[in-house]
Amino acid sequence: MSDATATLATTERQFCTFLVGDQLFGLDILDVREIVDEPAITPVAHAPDAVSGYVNIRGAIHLVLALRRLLGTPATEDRSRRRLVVLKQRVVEQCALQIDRVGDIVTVPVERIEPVRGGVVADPALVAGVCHLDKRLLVVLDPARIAEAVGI
Amino acid sequence: MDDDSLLDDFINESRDHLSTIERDLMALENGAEPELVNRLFRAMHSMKGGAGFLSLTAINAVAHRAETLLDQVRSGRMAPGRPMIDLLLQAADTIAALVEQGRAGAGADVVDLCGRLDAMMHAQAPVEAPQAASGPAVVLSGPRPWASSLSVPAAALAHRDADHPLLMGLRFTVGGSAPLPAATTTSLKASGEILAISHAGGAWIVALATPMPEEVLVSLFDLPGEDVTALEQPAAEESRPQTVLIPAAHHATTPALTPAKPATVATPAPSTERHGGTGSAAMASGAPAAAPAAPGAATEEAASTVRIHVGILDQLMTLAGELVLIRNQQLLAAANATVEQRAQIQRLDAITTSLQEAIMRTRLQPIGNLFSRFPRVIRDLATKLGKKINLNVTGNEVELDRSILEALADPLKHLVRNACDHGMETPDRRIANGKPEAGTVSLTAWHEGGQVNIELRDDGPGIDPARIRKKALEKGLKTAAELEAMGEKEVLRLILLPGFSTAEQVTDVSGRGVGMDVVSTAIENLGGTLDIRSGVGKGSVFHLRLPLTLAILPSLIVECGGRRYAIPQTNVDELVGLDDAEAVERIESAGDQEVFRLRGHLLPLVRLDEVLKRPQHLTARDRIDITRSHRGVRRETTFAVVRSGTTPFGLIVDQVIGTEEIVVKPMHPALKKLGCYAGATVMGDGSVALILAVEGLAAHAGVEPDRSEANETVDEHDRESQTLLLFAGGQDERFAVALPLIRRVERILTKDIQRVGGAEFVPVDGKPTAIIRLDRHLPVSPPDPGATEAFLLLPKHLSKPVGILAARIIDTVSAAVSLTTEALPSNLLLGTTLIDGKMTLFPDLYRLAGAHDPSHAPERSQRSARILLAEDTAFFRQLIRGYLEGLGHHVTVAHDGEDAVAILGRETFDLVVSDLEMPRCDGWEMVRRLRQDLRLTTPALAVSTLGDDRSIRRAIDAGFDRYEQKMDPPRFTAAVNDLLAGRTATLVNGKEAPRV
Repeated sequence: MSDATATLATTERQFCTFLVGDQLFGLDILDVREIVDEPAITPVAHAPDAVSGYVNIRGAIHLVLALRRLLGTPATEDRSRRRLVVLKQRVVEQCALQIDRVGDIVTVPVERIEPVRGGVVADPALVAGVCHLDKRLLVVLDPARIAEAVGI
Repeated sequence: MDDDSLLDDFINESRDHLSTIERDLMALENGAEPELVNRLFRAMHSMKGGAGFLSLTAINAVAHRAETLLDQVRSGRMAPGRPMIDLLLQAADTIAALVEQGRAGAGADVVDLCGRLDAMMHAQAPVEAPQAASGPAVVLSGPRPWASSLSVPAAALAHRDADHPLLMGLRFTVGGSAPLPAATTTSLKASGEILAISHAGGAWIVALATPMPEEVLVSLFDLPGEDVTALEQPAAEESRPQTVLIPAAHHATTPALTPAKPATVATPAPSTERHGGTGSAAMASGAPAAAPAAPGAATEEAASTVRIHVGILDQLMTLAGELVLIRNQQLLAAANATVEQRAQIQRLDAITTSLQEAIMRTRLQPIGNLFSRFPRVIRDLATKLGKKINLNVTGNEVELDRSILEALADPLKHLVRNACDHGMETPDRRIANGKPEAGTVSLTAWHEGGQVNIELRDDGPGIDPARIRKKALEKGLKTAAELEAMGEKEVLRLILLPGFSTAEQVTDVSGRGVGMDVVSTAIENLGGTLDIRSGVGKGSVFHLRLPLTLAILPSLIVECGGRRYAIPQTNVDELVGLDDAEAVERIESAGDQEVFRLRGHLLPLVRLDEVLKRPQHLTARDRIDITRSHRGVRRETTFAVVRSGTTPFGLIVDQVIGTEEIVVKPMHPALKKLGCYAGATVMGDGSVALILAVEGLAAHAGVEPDRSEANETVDEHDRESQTLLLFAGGQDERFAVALPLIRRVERILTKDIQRVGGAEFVPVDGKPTAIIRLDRHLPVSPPDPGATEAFLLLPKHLSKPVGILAARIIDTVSAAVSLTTEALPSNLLLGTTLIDGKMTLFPDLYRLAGAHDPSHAPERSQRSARILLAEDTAFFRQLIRGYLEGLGHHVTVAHDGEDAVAILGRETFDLVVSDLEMPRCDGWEMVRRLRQDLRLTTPALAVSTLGDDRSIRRAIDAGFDRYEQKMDPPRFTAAVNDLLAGRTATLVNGKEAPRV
């Protein structure tokens, strides 16, 4: 991670953005391994509510977390653009986040990321900060907190 | 190469050395074979050098001293006696422990051990001319005439390490044959390594490997200059036939000489296990050990093996697993492929299979690696316990997965210890029993049916089933009835239960009751099984069956709710399929549990879909709901008979797909706490399937062998309503009994009913069970005489097997009932009520049993007492009142605590019987007011469904004398009789009150 951050100016961060419900969220691009189409999910009975189940991503079994349920945002009707954001192994082990639609990669100066205010999502603990883009609010998620929320 | 990887290499090599050292040291007792001593010396030497290089000073210090001792043995100057071998074994143990600590152990305190090794050395310091050194020798010579031909063991010379670069000759003139002064010997040892000592012409000539040059030695030993000289090997050395150079492999094991040795060059310690077939290591206190194998094998092997990091093997295994998946997908696609493609797919299939097998073999290790520990274990135990025990080992070459081998170490060690402790008599007792003085423990491993079998056999006293039964009963692990119903094999399995220990004397070796259950769990976790056989007086056999590997698991694939699940094949006993009619007829209920009678045994049934629907552990209520919702449903039913621990149960699934070898992936950390799964796997079509954990499912579903006996506390909000079993006694009347009072409902065939005198019996669980016909005691209709089958309701808490005959089971319902005795007065009925608009009779099971056979009748009290009963639930009011009146007492009823206090204020009673949870004023408050406000000492008995210690404690603290959980009639009767007789000791459920 150190070499990657070194090449990027420390005053800017890049986020992989996506929609969950109508809200725009972002994860630091350094935390994301890839984004894949949603394969068939095997539900795991008795698992916490936020766990959608297991998927097979190229032979490796990943845990799928429904961000929608973690963040308390309403479900969207259109499932066709659903994707899985696969986190890097060092961030959260074998874990993918279910999102409703992929957005752009945005580059934001660090000073424009503000601390979270209440009311954006159900659980503000999952949020690392917010950033006002041209037209909308980007909510930056903290993957470590997401892992904590499901007891990893 | 960094220091850490050097350390890793050192640790790995040391482990190899240590594994041979132990065996060799014990073989040393049998005689100091030169090759044996050399191997020991080399191993110690190599560890000393490595430790020195890595600054692991503690290991270095111990290994150095051990090496010095061994050197004395090698040169024939010391005989390896028992004390020396013991001490060397300790040294090896210490080094083993330090090696495992790595850097952390560098500065460990080994002063004591070093002191003892030094003492051993000095106690037997060389005082005579050494015997001709064993093994090949190298002749050294120097410029001085006295140093012209010094014979030095070749191995010692070759092992001279970097700390001792110089070869020096020293001459000490002592005059005549006087020994070398001890002080000189000590100084010599401090200055270097003595390679050889010889005596000639009134002088001792010493060849010393040392870092010190000539002039230093001259001043150190105060010798004239001509008595110290440098030595060198003659150039013609190679041509001497007896000069043996060290096998190439051993150069590599000397890190001091080759510190940058590549990590991949392996130097396995001389090992007999890998090539040896059947090896036998007879071991005992003083018994001889088998001679080690020839060294040639080791050298050959060293040339053809490489050391590979386990991580790489694991990665290869994972990749092979993924290749298998792709292969499986290709096989699925083969149906639509062209002929050429199909041929390619077939080749892919064959190669993948071979590749998978080859990679799996890389993970396999001979079980001898594990077995080789046991001669030592048994030797130590035999000494400690004063027994004589021989160990026979067969099948060292059998290979199994290294992870299984590692996980097996502790359980197997425990079994071996048990075999020596409980499983072996003392020599006197053996002689008295006509057995050989020395007992024999045999460890045998072999392959069979794709599994590894390990058998541990002893010729000790065996396991006495009678003692096990007695112990299980004493410890309350099983009831007498359960024990009676058990076969011998099942009884033996009881020793695997937690908290079971039969050793009459608890020793520090075994007998603490925390072993066999851990052993059996560990073996189960490995996907293995443990069978126990025993003959009293003849010995015991523990038979382990283990899979070859953990990574690939033969599994039964089932479908449930449209999803596939894998059940490890080792957990599956058999599959049972029932057609729709059988499903209705043959699935019965026992208490709240569905059961199936499989070859005479009651098998609890667990419905996988119902269990997976419920994230919380199933309660009695859940089980009742499940049992009820499936009763009488005509549907084909398939279940797998699976085994978790000692309890088999039937797991009902929608469909069985087949068996498949699956690659096991562990559960994600976020889901580790879900007990129902053992892992996950990717199926041939790429989808993920969950692997079921049979033990976890049993725990989640609440399957216990004695479940039907369990006295479950009903949920608080359910207290008002009772779970009732509705049944038809004859052709018309409808009856109900409280389900918690019924142990089991049994289906019987009328042709099995046997008449003896006026009584009728039917065999249940192999015991004649008396039949009570309701129409004999109550004015009701008899069952249809032509019926071929009937049901028997077996009440709990009866001393003899008795069942109430029912023509038909109608249903179970949950209802709050209020009984009336007016409609049909009878002392054998608790009363009647309307359920679903139909008149339902509540027979009093205990009085019926009493009327049928007076030995069941409650003991009638000497005198009639006045008893106040405070109980808000109509059903219990009726039931308890019935008991009390049955005992001949006069009962006044209060509907709650408030009511009771009011009555107590104006009337006198001999006894108060009260519920705890009541509206307005509860039982605790009632008795507090009885004691404090009314200042009455009337004995008070609390009767409640609550079973938690806090509630009980509160009840006793508030002023109750006794506490009885609802509803055990004999104990209740005893409590009432006690209190009326003035025996007011505070008891809870007939026992001493729990402390808080």
